[in-house]
Amino acid sequence: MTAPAQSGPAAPVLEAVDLHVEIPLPMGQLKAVRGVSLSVGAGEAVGLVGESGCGKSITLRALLGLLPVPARVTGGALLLDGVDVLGMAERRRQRALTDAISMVFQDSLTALNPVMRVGDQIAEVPRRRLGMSKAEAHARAIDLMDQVGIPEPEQRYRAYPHQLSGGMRQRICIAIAMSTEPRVILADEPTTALDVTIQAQVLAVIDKLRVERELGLVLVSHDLAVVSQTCSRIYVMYAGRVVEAGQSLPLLTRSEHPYTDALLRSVPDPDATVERLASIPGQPPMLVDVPPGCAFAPRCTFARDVCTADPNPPELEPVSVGGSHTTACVRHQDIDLASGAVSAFVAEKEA
Amino acid sequence: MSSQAGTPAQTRPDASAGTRPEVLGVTDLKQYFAVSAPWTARLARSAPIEPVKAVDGVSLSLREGETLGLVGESGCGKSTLSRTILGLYAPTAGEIRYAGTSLSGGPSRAQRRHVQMVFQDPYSSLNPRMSVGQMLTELLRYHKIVPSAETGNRCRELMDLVGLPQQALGRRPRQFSGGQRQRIGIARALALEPKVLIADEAVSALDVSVQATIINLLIDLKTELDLSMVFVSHNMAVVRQVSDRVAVMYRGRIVETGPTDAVFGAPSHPYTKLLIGSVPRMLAAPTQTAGENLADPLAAVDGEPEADDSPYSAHKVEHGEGHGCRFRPRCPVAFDRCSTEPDLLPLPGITPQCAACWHVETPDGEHA
Ligand SMILES: Nc1ncnc2c1ncn2[C@@H]1O[C@H](COP(=O)(O)OP(=O)(O)OP(=O)(O)O)[C@@H](O)[C@H]1O
Ligand SMILES: Nc1ncnc2c1ncn2[C@@H]1O[C@H](COP(=O)(O)OP(=O)(O)OP(=O)(O)O)[C@@H](O)[C@H]1O
Ligand code: SF4
Ligand SMILES: [Mg+2]
Ligand SMILES: [Mg+2]
Repeated sequence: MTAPAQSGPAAPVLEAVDLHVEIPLPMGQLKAVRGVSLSVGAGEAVGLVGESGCGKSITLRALLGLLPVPARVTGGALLLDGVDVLGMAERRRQRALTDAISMVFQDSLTALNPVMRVGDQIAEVPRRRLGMSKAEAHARAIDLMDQVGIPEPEQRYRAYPHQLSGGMRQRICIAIAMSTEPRVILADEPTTALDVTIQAQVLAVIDKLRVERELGLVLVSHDLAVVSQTCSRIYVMYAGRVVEAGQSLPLLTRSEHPYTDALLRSVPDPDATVERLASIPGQPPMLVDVPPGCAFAPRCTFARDVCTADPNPPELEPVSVGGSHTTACVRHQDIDLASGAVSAFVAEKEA
Repeated sequence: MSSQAGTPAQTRPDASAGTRPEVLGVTDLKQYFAVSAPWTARLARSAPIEPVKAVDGVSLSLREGETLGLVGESGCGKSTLSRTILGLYAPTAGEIRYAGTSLSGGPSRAQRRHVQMVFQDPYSSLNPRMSVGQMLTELLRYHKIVPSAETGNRCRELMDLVGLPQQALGRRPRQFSGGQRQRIGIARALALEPKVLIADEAVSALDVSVQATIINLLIDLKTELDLSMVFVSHNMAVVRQVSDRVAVMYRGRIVETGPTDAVFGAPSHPYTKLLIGSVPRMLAAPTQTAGENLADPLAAVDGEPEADDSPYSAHKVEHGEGHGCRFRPRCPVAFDRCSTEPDLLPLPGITPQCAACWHVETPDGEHA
């Protein structure tokens, strides 16, 4: 196994390389993930954003080896500390992945066992997998509850999920995720079901754990403001592929892909009312028949023949030589998203 | 109680009377749920369990063509209020009016058709065994919306309207992502050509680009179909874009109402201030230590409330009858008067804004 390329300050803990996931459906193969590469390092928070149905949840589940039937990984590599786990026997792979990675879901009520005390649910893994005694596991659960900011953990240990509020339940889910002492947490819209006052608290808990435990965090959220405040790097997905990736600040302020740009423009402003929100015309493709070339082309105001000339989807390339900001827009050098206009040079050439 | 004793709480009409008549209204509406505590809790405490007062004295009025944004934290009673208005629950007390007629005894079939809801959870509200096309066809036929021969066309129009490809008609709910399913829920509500649409978190599960499309769609439909709307959401930014007027709900009661810009620009209730202050804003400069930017607006205040039916709920102890302002346990500016529940009263000045807080002065000095 060759060592993976060093992509950040530290070697990534978890890395997906050209990952493909397909779901067989009566009308054909649904290509949910079409060659996604992403990585997360220790203590790093990366965000995964993109339109509904673009494959964010399927990507996360593939990273954890927990795809819903009948979806399956059809290509690519999944590296844990640089070692490809997809080649391993299923049992070993699952063990390796679940030891290193935990997941937090959007809906805490369905994620938890309704007839088991929340404290016991937290203690379960330390007891079974880490081989702790009952008393040790109990103490560990109390400690975890304390760390995720649950007041009076001794009392609430005995509560059932429905007896706790949504925010408290999500903290329990985070405590359960932490109970395996993971190195990476995958969070799929963890605060979407919560209101803003509680969202701020839960995000602060996740962030505190990330820093203290050097946790890698992959955060899926449709709320770009949340991602902008939580993550230092962002991957933008469209139709099963990453179309732009980079450090949050340059990506959000000088995006180099028309899709990211359109996405950013459609964020509603809590501090002003606008006549009309910017939206993206058309619909994302259904992923059974993915259009050739850049999948965004049918909806892109900057699209030209060159965008679909090559039937293969365009690869990510650096925006500037050697930089970490990458885009899959074929025309990124020809268009100026800041002004929303094609640069004069190109307009001239095309005329 | 307070000096307003005798007047039912919150019955004052909203001052923002437009020129158009009311299409939907509720007066002093209450919806209580009897709860049976888990047997463990029953053993531990012999005291009778108080009902969950999910909606506890709400008065609202929706005018024709108006969009009322209903905001508030999870569990404050927004969905229960919506469902009670829709006739899914018989109210514990209070009145519901549709187009000037009281709906005591439940809505008729026509009234049902005219008030439609887009549900919070698109998955559990769709029949998993029916394709989208079958579901819409059945609705259109049952309510005789279009001639039989036209149903196919209308189904395709509805898909267009909510931005789904026509192939979607042949697929079942589980084959869609969350956002796609929500559009199906909207198509289903619109199929009946309602007069009032209650959108309960209709865009919360959607990512921003789709959200923007649906919000624009709802704004368009409002004008085109002369739709009145109750827009329930905990996304303040979205509510700001959609609503003409806003009602802020906290623990079963309305604590502030007013024109959208007035409430967002000058919130007067401490809870409204907290709510608007907690909205995540796009960060100009995300850093490696991004966590520092995450303000915890409640860090200094007592944490969030427990679920109402929780034996650990402070609500049980603190918020029984005559236990004062519901926001008091979290309120940074609570003082002795807050041990009495404040009424929703108009603010001084010309703005038709109302708030239920002892700190909000009223012209006659009642709340001073
Ligand atoms: N169990 C399933 N059966 C068939 N298709 C599925 C299934 N789950 C997901 N899909 C399809 O796979 C694609 C990717 O879905 P995924 O759930 O990953 O999207 P997402 O980006 O998480 O969207 P959202 O933001 O709505 O959660 C979608 O086109 C969806 O329709
Ligand atoms: N059928 C029911 N039986 C008992 N209690 C209920 C019932 N429905 C709702 N509740 C309780 O009533 C309160 C209000 O719930 P509701 O669903 O109306 O809140 P909400 O404002 O819509 O919250 P969210 O933003 O999470 O959707 C909650 O405490 C809830 O647990
Ligand atoms: S490659 Fe072409 S179609 Fe795709 S985003 Fe760039 S300009 Fe638009
Ligand atoms: Mg998802
Ligand atoms: Mg609700």
